[in-house]
Amino acid sequence: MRHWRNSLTFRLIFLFTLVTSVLLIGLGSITLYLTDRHFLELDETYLKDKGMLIREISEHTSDLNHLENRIRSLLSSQTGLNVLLSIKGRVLYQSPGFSLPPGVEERLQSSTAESIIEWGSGKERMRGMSVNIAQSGHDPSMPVRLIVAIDTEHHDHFMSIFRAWLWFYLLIAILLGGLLSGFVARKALTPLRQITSRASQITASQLDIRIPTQDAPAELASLAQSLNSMFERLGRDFERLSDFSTDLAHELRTPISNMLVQTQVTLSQPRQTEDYRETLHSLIEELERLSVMVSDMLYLAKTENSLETPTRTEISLDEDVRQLIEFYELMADEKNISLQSEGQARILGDRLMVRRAISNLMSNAIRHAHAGSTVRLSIAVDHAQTELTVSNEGDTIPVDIQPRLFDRFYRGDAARSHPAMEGSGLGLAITKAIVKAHGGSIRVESDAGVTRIVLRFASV
Amino acid sequence: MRVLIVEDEKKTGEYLQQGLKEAGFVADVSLTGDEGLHLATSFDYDLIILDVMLPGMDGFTLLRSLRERSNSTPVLYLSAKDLVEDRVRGLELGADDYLVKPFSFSELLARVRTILRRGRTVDQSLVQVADLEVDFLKRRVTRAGKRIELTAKEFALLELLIRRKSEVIPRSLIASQVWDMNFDSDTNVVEVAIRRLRSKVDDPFEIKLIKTIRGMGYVLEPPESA
Repeated sequence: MRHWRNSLTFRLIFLFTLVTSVLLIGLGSITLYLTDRHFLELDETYLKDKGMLIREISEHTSDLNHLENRIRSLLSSQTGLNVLLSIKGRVLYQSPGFSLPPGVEERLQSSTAESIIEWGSGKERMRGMSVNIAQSGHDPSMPVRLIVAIDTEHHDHFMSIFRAWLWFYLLIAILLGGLLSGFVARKALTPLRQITSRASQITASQLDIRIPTQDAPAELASLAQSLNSMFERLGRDFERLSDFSTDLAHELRTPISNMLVQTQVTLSQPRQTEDYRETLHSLIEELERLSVMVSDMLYLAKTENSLETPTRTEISLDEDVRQLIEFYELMADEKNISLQSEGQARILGDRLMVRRAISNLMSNAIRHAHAGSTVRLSIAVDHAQTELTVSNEGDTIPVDIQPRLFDRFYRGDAARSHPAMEGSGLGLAITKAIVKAHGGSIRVESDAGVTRIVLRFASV
Repeated sequence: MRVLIVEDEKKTGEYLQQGLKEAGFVADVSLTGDEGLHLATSFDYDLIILDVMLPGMDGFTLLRSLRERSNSTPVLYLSAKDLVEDRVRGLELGADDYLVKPFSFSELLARVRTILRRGRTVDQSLVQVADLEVDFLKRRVTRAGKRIELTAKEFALLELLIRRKSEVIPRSLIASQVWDMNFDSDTNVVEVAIRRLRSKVDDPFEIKLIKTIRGMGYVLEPPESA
């Protein structure tokens, strides 16, 4: 079971819920803030309004008793409004049950006139302001002080209910959003699941199954296409591999059956020591062939799969060709073939691998050259490319079988081949693998009795 | 000369032991790495032939423990996997040479002799086998007093055979030593080269010195030991 954090559905749900939460919580907070502010503004207007009214009355009433009566009758219809009016420290009017807790009076005095101050006394929360009253109508030496305040309890009550409902709604909305996003995510990922189930049907025996790409969404169509082309390549490789296994079994079968029969026949009746020796010698020959074949196959596999990565040193092609000619000239001489080389170039590569590649070509060319002809090795540099051509005069290779020359175990003249004289049948395949490992290319040209194999490398 | 073979494949071990004994060595076989290490440290061997893949303690571990104990017995190791890192690792750990399976016995014997010869003999400047005489300083070959002219490669081939007289030299070793062909190459060339050398060194004379050991290689030896 994979970790839940790796699930695409989970990630989508998580991200969607996260975004919804952030948006909704933001909206909720703004709403709360603005509502609160709105109440504050309402209170401010109300207090200013009432403060103004009382100031008006007190400025136009000089008789203090009369003033008190007027204020009292004014306030009788205003529930929740508290007033404290004092002249020179003497309280002229104080709403019943209203008093200022310690410290609030100082805060009111130090604040600018008509700005809101909040305080809490017990469970009650109050908002109030002091209002300036001009001295006219009174004795100027007597300062008049007016404080108006209202109890905000009804606001707080509303706000707490409002807040509770808002958060409750947000919670439900976020949960619902999460559920909905889960549903949407599953729905959106359906094509992916279809691709998965289709791909899981593909096995070694059913490599021809492909993922349908027409109905897939655009984002997934390219994935499906790359998967399809991967299956295509895998299918081809798999086919090549199974062909190779078949060829291999066939190649091994002949020498093994030779050895088996020969040994059994030899042992079927008593013989001269010389006969036993002869059998053993013949066994060695077969075993040597097998041994070479196994080594060559391993080498080929390693080179093709880049297990044997070429080192990159500067090598002189003409020097290697010269040394290889020294090696092969005896064999060529036996067939009355002459070896010639021309041109010079340097390339980057693995000396041993490159020599092996050229050696295989020379051995091949000498084997297929007509007696008395010349095998030519020419090196040509053209811009960034270096070409090494090995050509021999021999039978023209038909165009249709030219590409198969580099296949494993392919022997051009199958009918006439003398297994003991042939190599493992892997020489040209190895050469091709080496050239490819060097980032080069190989091609064959054959016409009018001349066969040329051309290796192409990048120049130094 | 005493050789220790550490090889878990019983058949291989036995045949190697038999082959080495018949070639004049004293050979012990150990089937496990632990026993091999014990033997190698208890007795004084001239060479250890070591299979890399062993049950329990593998060949590389054995080699490391051996070198950690300052035991510098030469080691030739056998590997079934021809991977570059294996080759490098073995040589870095202080092995002297390696062979990849499948190998031929003549190849093994030649390598064993090369390792054992290292630092022991000074190359003589004049070698004589029967009436054949090679002077390496003057690069001159004479047989029965008659001068024989050889090409550079023929001389190199004769030098290899005569310096290791009475030893079977496998064709792959000849290709590698004379032509620097350090990979499986067409060894028909070696046959041709030997034939040419014979036509100059052996054919005009009654006693043949260069012999073909079928399936093994070539040997140059005086007639009486044949």
